[in-house]
Amino acid sequence: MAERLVETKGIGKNFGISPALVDVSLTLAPGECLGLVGHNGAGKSTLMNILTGIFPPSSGAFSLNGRLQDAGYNVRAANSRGVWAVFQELSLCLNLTVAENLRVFHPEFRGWGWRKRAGDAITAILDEIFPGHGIRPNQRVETLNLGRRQVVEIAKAFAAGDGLGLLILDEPTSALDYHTARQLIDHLNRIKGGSIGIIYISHILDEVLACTDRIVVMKDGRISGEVASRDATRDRLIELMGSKSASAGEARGGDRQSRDLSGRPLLISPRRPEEKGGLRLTLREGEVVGLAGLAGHGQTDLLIELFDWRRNPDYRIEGPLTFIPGDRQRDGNFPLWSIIKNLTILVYPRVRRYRIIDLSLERSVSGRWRDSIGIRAASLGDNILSLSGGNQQKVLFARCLESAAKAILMDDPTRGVDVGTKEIIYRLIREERDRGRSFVWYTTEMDELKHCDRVYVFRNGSMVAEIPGTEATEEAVLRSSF
Amino acid sequence: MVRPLDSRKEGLARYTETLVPAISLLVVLLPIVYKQPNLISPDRYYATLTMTLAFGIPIVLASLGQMLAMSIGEIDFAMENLVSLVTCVMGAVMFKDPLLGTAFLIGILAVYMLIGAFIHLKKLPSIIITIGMSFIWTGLAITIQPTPGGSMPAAVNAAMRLRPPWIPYPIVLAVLLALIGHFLMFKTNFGILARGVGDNVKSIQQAGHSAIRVRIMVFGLVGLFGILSGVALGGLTTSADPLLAKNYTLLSVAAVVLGGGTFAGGKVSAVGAVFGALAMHLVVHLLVVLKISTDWQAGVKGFIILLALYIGGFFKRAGKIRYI
Repeated sequence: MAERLVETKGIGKNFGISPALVDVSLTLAPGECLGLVGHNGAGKSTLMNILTGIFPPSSGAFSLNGRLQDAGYNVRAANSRGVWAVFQELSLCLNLTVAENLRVFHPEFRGWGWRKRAGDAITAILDEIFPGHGIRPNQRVETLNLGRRQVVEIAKAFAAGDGLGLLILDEPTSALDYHTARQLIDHLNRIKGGSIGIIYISHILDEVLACTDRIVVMKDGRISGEVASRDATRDRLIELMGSKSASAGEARGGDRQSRDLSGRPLLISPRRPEEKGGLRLTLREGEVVGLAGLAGHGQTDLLIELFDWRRNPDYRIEGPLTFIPGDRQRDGNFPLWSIIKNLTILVYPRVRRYRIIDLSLERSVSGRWRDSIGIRAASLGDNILSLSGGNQQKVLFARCLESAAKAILMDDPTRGVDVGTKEIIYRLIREERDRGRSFVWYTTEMDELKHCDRVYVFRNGSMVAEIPGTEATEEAVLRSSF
Repeated sequence: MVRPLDSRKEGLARYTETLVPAISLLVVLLPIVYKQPNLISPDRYYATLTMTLAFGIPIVLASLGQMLAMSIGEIDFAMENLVSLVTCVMGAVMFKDPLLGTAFLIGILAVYMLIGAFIHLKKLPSIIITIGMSFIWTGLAITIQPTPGGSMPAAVNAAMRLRPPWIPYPIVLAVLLALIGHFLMFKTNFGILARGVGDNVKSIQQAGHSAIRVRIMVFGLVGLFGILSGVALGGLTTSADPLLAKNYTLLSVAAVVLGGGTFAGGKVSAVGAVFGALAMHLVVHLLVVLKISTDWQAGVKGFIILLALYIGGFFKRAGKIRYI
């Protein structure tokens, strides 16, 4: 290959101690469309963030058009060198109009009459890629639905015109309906072979197969395989995405054992028989149920729905329930409070004497947890934010376990938590399970499914498969989620 | 192809957004007109409208300043103190020593720009900083001019007493200010970036724009509009008073909200804010015209303002998407 638009050499990226990317080398020629697939956390988005200048790599280097990129490479530099990206999280300002957003990102729309020029430019692109789009350039983005916002985001990248060299599309169709997604894929097929190099990331394998020349599969921060699109099949890709660690999980699967819980009372059961749309969740006393599948396919929504246990229209629930939220900073911590107050908030009636909070009772409850799970704090009276992320998570667990809740809903509780803390959390879950507490556990880590008695797999907002814990291998889950 | 629902919603939103503040202004104005028919009589309208609306102009200016702060999701809680201070600077300093007075005003402007930089760098909420500033402004004002008094420069007095043909001066000024505000927020690069910062700072920065520059410029303009409001108020009352602009802070916030602005998300309307400010000003006038006893005036005024904001909020239907 004489011409190379992008060439990465041994790129690595660490977040704290955990490596997100290890030694990634890939190339892309102008006019080529490269597919990038892999499970959540495989490192695809990390790699794209590096290419678009959002953060620098920890090791390795990459060049654009044969020119090595230096430390000063940032989003602005990436744009000026022709790299444009469409991410899942949209970058549009909702209160600005479509044309104004274009102006914010493309400095060439300046001077008199820019509004008309920007409007004409975006309309021309939209008409070309998405005929019948129904978007007017002087419309504020907030008045568009999510799908149309995504369409604008895509068109915004194309508005770079001749300046567009590398186009990165990260899950561009996640908010698009079938028809619109098809329009995008047809357009990519039309411009293939021109001057633009495209990296296309998607969980929808059929789309990737339909519009790419070559597919790179990532797994645990590494490239685990590469295939030409015309030779590839869904099964082959799924195999490449899962194989390695699934077998590793199998080897360590010694603690997988099926437990017979059928005699235990039901804590959560559907009010109505199952509909054709999807499965319904059940949970027995002392059971750990896992929620798996691609991130954001309805798992958190179900947890939130279950959390409303007294007036739940779909499920009959024996409460009380408690919830460990996924976004610790936003939904979990009381950021101004001490560790003690954060830990005892759910059980404050029990740390009172004569209806007044008793500091020594609070202290003894918190102290008991500090000793049993090792919360590393100088003093329990310190602010919760003085703790590391893992220790904050321990406090959240202690808060929920101290409560009288019969079942605990967990929204990916080990996200961003170190290995040591994870082991403690797994131990706690096992112990509490044996004491008759139940868990509904949404996890993005395949490895954690081995702690579950049963696993439900989500796809597009509903549960499509139920797998016994002993059979919940990565491969089985991947097969159901695509 | 069928016109998408989105566009209809957008049309409706635009329509109500400018209409609601205009309607609330009318709702306040109509009873006043009923009680004071002079306002529309062909030979008296000029004098009565000038008199009725004149004191609305400083509120319009303060509201435009507040609108700028709110466009980037901030607020200026020192507005009334700033406006009062400026009347004192005009009455006590500018009158005697124009050079020192001008330097004083430029100093105020510089402090406002520093506030913008400070908010950006220290990530402190503007409400805290500006509440702190409010005490400083009032302290300065009392030092300069302890009791109401002083004299305004003749040019300022004259500027507030222009009499254009046919159309009363306050109306000319209000229309002019609405146009300037609208141009600033919707036609200039600065306006787009300011509103962008109000909604999504990260995107604006990733597009290569400097957020601190935007915040400094916005707060500089907040200070400028506050100063203009003080000059206008001083010119109308021809006296300096450290407490002259009482209630301006909350009136200006209410005016922006009534005009379709929000506390977060970079949604503001300059035309709406001008309508809102005039409506706020006329509420006071209405109570006088209706001969409401002074004991009740403050309460009734608050009630009317709440009612107007409630009705305004009722019509606001933004295309919201629920994310979980």
